[in-house]
Amino acid sequence: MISNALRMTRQRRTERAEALKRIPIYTRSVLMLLAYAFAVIAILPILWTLSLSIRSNEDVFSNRVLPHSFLPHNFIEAWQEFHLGLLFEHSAIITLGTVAVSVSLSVLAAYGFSRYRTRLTEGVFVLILTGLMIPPAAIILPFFLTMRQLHLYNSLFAVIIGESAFALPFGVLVLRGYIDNVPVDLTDAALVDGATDWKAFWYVVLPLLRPALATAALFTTISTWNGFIIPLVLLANSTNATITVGLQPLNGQFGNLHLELMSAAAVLAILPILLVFLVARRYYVQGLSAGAIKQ
Amino acid sequence: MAGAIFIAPATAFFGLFLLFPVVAVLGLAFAEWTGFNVHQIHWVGTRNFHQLYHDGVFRSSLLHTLIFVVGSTVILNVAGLGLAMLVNTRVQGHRFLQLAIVLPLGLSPVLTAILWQQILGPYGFINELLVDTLHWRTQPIGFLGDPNLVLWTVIAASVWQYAGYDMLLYYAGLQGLPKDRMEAAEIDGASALSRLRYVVIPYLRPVIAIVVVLNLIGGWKVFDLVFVLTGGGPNHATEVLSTYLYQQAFTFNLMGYASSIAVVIVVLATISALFRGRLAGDARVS
Repeated sequence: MISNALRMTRQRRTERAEALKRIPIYTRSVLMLLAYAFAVIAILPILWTLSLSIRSNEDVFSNRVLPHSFLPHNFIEAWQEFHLGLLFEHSAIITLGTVAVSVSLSVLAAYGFSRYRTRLTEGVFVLILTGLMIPPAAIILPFFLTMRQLHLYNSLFAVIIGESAFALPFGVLVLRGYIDNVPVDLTDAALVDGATDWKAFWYVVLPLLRPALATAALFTTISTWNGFIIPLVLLANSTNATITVGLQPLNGQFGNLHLELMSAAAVLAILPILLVFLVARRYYVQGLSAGAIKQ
Repeated sequence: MAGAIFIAPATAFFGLFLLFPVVAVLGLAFAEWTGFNVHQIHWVGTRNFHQLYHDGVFRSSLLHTLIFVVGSTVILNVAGLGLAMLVNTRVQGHRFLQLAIVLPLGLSPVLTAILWQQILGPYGFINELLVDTLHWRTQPIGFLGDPNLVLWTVIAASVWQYAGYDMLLYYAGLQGLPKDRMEAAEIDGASALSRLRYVVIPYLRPVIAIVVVLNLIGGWKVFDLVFVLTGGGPNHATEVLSTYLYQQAFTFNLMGYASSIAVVIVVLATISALFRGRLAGDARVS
């Protein structure tokens, strides 16, 4: 089967190569130039910030396009100045907590929706999916008021709850799509052998869901790590801030005077996401199309 | 009711932390409240909405939001389809292009705003290039300071961030394009443009419908990018509904008034989503 798939890919590749060859050489050159030009434009903001991050302060305001100084020490200074260690720690706690809460809640629900279909459960499923279109800014206010009533204001726990609420519908959507494709015979066999509902889920279905769980976890990680309005509203001060909230107020005061440190901090903030992306881009792309088509 | 055990936790969570806030916003929109003592909620009927109607900043926020949502949706779709077709030619450099376009998707809008401030500010790359290196202009362009320009700067930053999303969806759609139809058009001597017009776009119509609605729904969620890139300024020139809501709620403590703005956002998002339902139905039929 694998060799068959490989042959298919190879065949598609040769077809592609032939199709490309049919395009006249000058058109091909123009297309190539366009591809490189758009790619460079797309990464220009990142390259420019990278080029600012290693400059001296005078060099930043020197009106020169290329750096004339090289100060890797900026990264250490930015790390200390903006307390990046603390910010990363808070973002990591919130992200891990949100992944744990939202993925476990949504995999259970997805299993229930897939295997115990009634008119009521289908209605609840559709209701939960409406969560996908709710703009966080629209409901942040009662959320904030509720958390304050519960004395959870300014706790990372409150942010985990908020981010989980917004991550839940996507998790349910993606995981249900997978579970619908797991043959019912498998669980039925386990049930006939005397397994409880719970055991059939835990020992039969869950192990099969690993790729789906990875996709849900990946998306939740990226959206939570990048989340802004929930930590902005629910965390009181910079001692509890996340990486997104912690970098943002610096724009105004200190950051404008020290663009090189601001840039260095931004570069350091990009790195973890860059890493995740390079490792898991394939899952990201697959999950993205799956989510969009099913939505 | 074995299923209830599986469904109940998520449903309770959803009800408490998504559904209840929506209901609360719908209620508070008819009240006046500073947000501290629950006993001081004053019910004022539709007064908040009357006030919104006469509020010049609200009206311009609504207009800016509409321009942002429609403008970025149109540009995103054109750019996304164009880039997807370029990548799909498998021309040299297409892998690099795909990576470069997809990368911003992983960044937070906060980082996007910071990057764009660095590139468009008075000491940014564009202005240093135009003014100091090429000497094409004597004054820096006020990408972030010129009220006529700044909303388009926000739209451009948003397009930069999300073009990869549209590109990936269109790219996936293009993989199913029937080869024989393209070849037949080619043999008939159809130009690249008419092949796009008469073969590619009709084939992709259901995909276009989905992507457009996803962009619309995503557009109403805009907050982070505007909040950090411009703060809604200068002088409300980029104020959108969400940033105006934030200001009313967390700067002025006008919880009722802010809730009425939230209701407007929810209604607009719901209209887009209903549209989505209908389009999905059409796509299934065709």
